[in-house]
Amino acid sequence: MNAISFLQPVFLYGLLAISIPILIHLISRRRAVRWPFAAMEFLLRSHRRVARRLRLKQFLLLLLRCLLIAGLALAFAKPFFQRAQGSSPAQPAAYVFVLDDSMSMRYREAPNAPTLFDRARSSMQRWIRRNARGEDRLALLRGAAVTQPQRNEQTELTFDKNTLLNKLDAWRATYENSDLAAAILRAQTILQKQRGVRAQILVFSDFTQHSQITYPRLTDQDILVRFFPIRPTRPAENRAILSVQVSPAPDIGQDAYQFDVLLRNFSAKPYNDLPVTLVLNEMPRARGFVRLPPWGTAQKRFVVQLPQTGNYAGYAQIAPDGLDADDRYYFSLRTRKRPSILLVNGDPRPISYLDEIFYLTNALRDDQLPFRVEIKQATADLPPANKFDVIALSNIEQLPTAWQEQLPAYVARGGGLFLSMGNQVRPEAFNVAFADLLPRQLRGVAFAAQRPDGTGVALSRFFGEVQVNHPIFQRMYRDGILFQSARATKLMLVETRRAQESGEILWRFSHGPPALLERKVGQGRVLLLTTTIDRDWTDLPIRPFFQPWIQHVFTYLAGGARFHRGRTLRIAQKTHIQLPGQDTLRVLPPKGVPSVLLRPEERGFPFPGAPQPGNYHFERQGKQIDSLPLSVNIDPAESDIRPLSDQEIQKSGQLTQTSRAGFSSQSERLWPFLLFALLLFFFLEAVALRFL
Amino acid sequence: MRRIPFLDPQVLTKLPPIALKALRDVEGALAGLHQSPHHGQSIEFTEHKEYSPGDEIRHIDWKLFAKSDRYYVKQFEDETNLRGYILLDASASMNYPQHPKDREQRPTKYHYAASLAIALAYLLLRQRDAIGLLAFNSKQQHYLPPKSQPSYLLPLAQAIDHPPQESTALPENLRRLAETTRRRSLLFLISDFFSDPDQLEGLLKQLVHRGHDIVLFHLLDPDEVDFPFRDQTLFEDLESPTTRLQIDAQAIRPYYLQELQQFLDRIEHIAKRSGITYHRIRTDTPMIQVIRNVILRRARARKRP
Repeated sequence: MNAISFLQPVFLYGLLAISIPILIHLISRRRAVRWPFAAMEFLLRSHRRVARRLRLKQFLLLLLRCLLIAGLALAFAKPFFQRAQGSSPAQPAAYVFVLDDSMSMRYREAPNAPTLFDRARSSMQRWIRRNARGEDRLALLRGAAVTQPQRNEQTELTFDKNTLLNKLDAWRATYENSDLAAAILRAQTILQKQRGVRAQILVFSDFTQHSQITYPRLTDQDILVRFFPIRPTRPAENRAILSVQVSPAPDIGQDAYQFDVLLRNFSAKPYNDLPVTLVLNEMPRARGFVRLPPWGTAQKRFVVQLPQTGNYAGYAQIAPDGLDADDRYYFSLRTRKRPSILLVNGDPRPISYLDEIFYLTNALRDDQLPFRVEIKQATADLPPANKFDVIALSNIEQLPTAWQEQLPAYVARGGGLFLSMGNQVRPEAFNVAFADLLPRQLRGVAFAAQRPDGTGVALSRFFGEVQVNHPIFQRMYRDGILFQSARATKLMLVETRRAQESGEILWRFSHGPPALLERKVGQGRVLLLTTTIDRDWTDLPIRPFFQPWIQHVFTYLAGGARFHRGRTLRIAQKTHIQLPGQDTLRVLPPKGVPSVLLRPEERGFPFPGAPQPGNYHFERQGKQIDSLPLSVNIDPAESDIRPLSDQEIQKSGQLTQTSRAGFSSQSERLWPFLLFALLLFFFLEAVALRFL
Repeated sequence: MRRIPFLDPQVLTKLPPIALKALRDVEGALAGLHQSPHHGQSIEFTEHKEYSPGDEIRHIDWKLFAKSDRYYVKQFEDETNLRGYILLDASASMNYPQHPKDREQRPTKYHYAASLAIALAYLLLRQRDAIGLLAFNSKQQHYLPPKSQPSYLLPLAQAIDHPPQESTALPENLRRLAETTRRRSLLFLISDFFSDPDQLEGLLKQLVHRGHDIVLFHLLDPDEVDFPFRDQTLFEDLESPTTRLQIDAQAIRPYYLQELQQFLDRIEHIAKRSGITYHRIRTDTPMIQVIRNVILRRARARKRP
């Protein structure tokens, strides 16, 4: 079937303007002035001579003017000639339609204009109404990457055209990535067993740079794959936020965090003062402008003071454009106050490097000052334990009793306690003083190894097995740190485990005795290092990993990292969420997305993938839980909406132009001819006026 | 003094002191300015004629009788007064323009014609010539026989002080005039001549043949000559209002002007061929200029032979 369609059919209303010359003609006839005249005879005689010619001239002029207006309206409507392809029409057909509903199809040229998806859908519906006959069978597939079964898809061929059209009406564009190749493969599977029919796969998409249209052929069956590009009428303009990186900014302030917003321009238009806004917990916190060169990237850095401990969910945003889903980027973070640490020195020395806590102090005080460190001697008046997040007791012989009695309650409320050994530690007194806190009872000091001849000269032993999954080791172990490189000459032996003790061995020496033990008391933790924290018994403090490791240890004791970045997922990305508790979780999605319930599984709570960008919070029993939300963002690949060239499309299938789609050079455009006809009409009108 | 319609005192004051003379010999009842075909009692001798019974005995040239022994009668040139007729077309077509705005600028053709007629009558009466009038249209006619009393001007003016109406009927009236007027006369024919030129030609020839001296005044309104109309116009015939024509005036103008020119040429040609004086007058021309033209032209023509 051949048909003429229009790219801008709204201009067809201009055809109504044909009535203007007709009306003018009629009105001027009606409004003729009455004029009594004497020399009528000559008028009548002249009229007899030329009446027919004048009538013809008037008719021709009227006709030409009407044609001019009609031609103008038609030319503006951009008509083109659509030639239906395909083999013998006598043969019934099997069509599988693939409608790209990926994120990039949400592009709209003007705020209230239809999206590319809307246009693609109407084109498809039009095509079906025009070309699908009663004996043809149809199926309908999504062009976005299918992560879960789609209710609205029609995966089996059907004769019922109307149901298919109704299903199409219910479709909405998603935020997902497109995967046309997968859709074409699925379509081939559907068509595979069809014999004696014209098998066609019709793909309606914007065919941008990220579209995958190279697909393998499943069979040698003759399946025609036709591509219908739906494109903006002028070059698309899109800019997107690719990522937001959050990190502390200690150079600027102790509680300062920097947010690096990375932007990309996917068009040839430069933006000189593009506003970027940073919103945290629904409050705009910072606003700036960025210069975005054509096809270029730019980074905008915001520095924000976040002095309070808390969870922040937010997004960075730029002024919306045709594709507004990628103009926001969601993230979340948790900040803590800087942990304060009390180091109680049991063996102070005037020579700094001989001091018991020399290495510890220096390891905790680096350039970024992640901790507030206070140092006291065991004999002095100690400040109340509650003021601190972590207390380290190094080589302590004795503590003021009153102060010491605070410690169990302090730990139970969530404080951290770090105990390290030394020559001044007397196991019996220690076992009594820290009975409720020690992971294991101390047994006595021992050499790590002795010479076989029994001369008593100590040999060292390497540190050995670590619990690599423990937070204080996990990250450094993943980074390839060899903890076993440290050695010790002396160590404090501990009792074997008794039933009521909950102490856990995190690190052992290579010959077996524990090197580091942990005990959880209430909400707090106690870590016991069975050797010294200076170089008296071990070379641990001069190992390269010591400083970061000790910071991990104290961060852990202080209750976790000072700054924690929430997880970021892509649209439809599945994951398992690690959250305490076994009760069902309810996902609190952004507006417009149905809420889902999550039941715990072995690996955590299975998150099924988010359909829409946003921060997804969680609640349990009607109360939002104190955890960071999942931040779901668009795949930046979808933001690149540069169209594929016709040649590239044609490599994979037959390029077919649809009405209202962008035009390639091969399309059969009619408006140039119309414009030529208009010129001709103008010329003819002038001739008619002058010579007729 | 009673006001005489159509008589413009300004025109009268500007009239040249030259007499309006007939170009051909005309017959009058009284001795006057114009040459009469009858040999009369003037002192100017023209020729001898052999005596025949009935001739005045006192005109016998006795000296010649003495020489030739035959009776010859002396003949003298006779001078007569002029009998003039004004034929005035009073048809509805002369009632143009009708638009009040146009009438402010220029008179209707009829008004112009009547004024011209009265001015001519005044001229002739001033030189004691007799002047008669025939104002006509297809329905009625006003006929006043020629008289030479100066007071005759008022009845003449009153006779034509009627609104023009109906169609022209020029041929019929000319024919009637030809039949009734036996004496050679001076005929002033004032009209727009919107009638059949062929018929007109025949009648004019007949009149000329009878020895009448004819002067044609062809009156045309500027609108008729220039056809200044532009838009769609519904033209309505003045003489028969049911005849209408709606037309794009601008489109038809060239054809109209062509037709008009042909007609004017035809009338002029008829006049020329019959030896009739022809004056084509646009009604926006000052009357005095027209009259002066007429008088001077006639005076020159009279001298020429």
